[in-house]
Amino acid sequence: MELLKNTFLFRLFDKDKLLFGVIVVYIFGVLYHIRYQREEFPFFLYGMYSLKEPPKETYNTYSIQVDGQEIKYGKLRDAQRELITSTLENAVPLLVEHKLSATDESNFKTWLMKYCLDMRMAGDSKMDIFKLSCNYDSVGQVRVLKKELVYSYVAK
Amino acid sequence: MLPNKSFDREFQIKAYFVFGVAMYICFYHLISNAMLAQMQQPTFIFDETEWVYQWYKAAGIPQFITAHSVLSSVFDISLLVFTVGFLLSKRRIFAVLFSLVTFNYFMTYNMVTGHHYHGLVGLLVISIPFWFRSEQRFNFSWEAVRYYFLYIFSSAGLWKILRGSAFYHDQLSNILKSQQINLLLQNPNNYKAHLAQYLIAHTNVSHLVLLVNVVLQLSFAIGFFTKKFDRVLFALAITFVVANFMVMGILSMELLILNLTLLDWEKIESYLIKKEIVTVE
Repeated sequence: MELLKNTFLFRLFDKDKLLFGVIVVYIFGVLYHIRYQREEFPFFLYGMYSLKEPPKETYNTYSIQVDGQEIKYGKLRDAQRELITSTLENAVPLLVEHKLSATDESNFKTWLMKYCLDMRMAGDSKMDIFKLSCNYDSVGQVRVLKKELVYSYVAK
Repeated sequence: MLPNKSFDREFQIKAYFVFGVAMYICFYHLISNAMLAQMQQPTFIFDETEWVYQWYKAAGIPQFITAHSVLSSVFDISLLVFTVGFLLSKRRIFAVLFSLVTFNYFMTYNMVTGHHYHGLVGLLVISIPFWFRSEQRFNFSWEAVRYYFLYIFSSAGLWKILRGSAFYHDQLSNILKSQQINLLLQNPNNYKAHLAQYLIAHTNVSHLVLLVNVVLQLSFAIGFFTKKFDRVLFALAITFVVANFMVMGILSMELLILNLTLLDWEKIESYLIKKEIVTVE
């Protein structure tokens, strides 16, 4: 019993019932979402790559070239890289499957160009987006199997 | 100059550390060209499955803010204004406003990228104790943030065991094939690329690395029962962030702000006073 009395929740219940209520509701919220293995803000589960990752035949990525020069993702900071690569990964399938209106498609291409040019401080303006399909050999070296042009864009 | 009253003194020192680190994080996002005004009025606010995101989008808030560059700039600048306002005035309203603006940034950034970037949760969570005026509520909520930090790591370790991925021999090797593909294609001579390539090819080693990571993450569970090992956990959290950067190329330093809850603040206070870095009224 003495051990229980020293626990955080017991002390909190004793001294601050409102905060206790908030924290208990939060704990139950997390437990509910754990049960369904579904994450909802603010009930984060923090799996951190805990889903099983089966091997794939090919691994895809996108390459951006501005005036023939490839943007090196490694030179970008995390938040910036995420803004480009995640947006591309989400937008390109919509673009390829023609799920975007002509205005959205044009706006997206203009936006990506504007955002990338700002980083490079470059003045010229032709952007090519390539989809790369790759696989790995036994020593862990990556090989490009296919390089497809997704679209080209010339700033007006 | 710090106040004479013990709680006010500790509160103030914690505020300087927390909001100082918070400013560093915001500065990092600024130089990353990733603040709201720097997003250049993005085309998409992606559809979400989580209801809070859906409500936020339905309310039109992220679309409206990102579409107006002046408004985006106001939100970005207000992060600094509320921090400075809070540190100078100690008025809790500034801490609440800081949390709200951070929340907006967190939601908008995640909806623009269509990817849920959890790093900023640390910033959001640790700002909450500063909403409270009462000593007791501040201390309890600070302690709650410490438990939340322990939960983040313990949960990550437990999920890997419960989902079985910790025992899947090729798990880390397969993750790295996706995660580090751009590094391996664009910068194969980089030391991180060599490390990734080695771990992809040597699955025994990468599995061992994964298991060590699981043990490291699970070790945070001990913090639920005792504070004796907080210094060790503090070092382990930093080790995790460094290793995560080297192996996965992910910089999760924003979460490290929660590491402040593992520090012994009485000792820090005494040290600062003894070294005359701060003075007391």
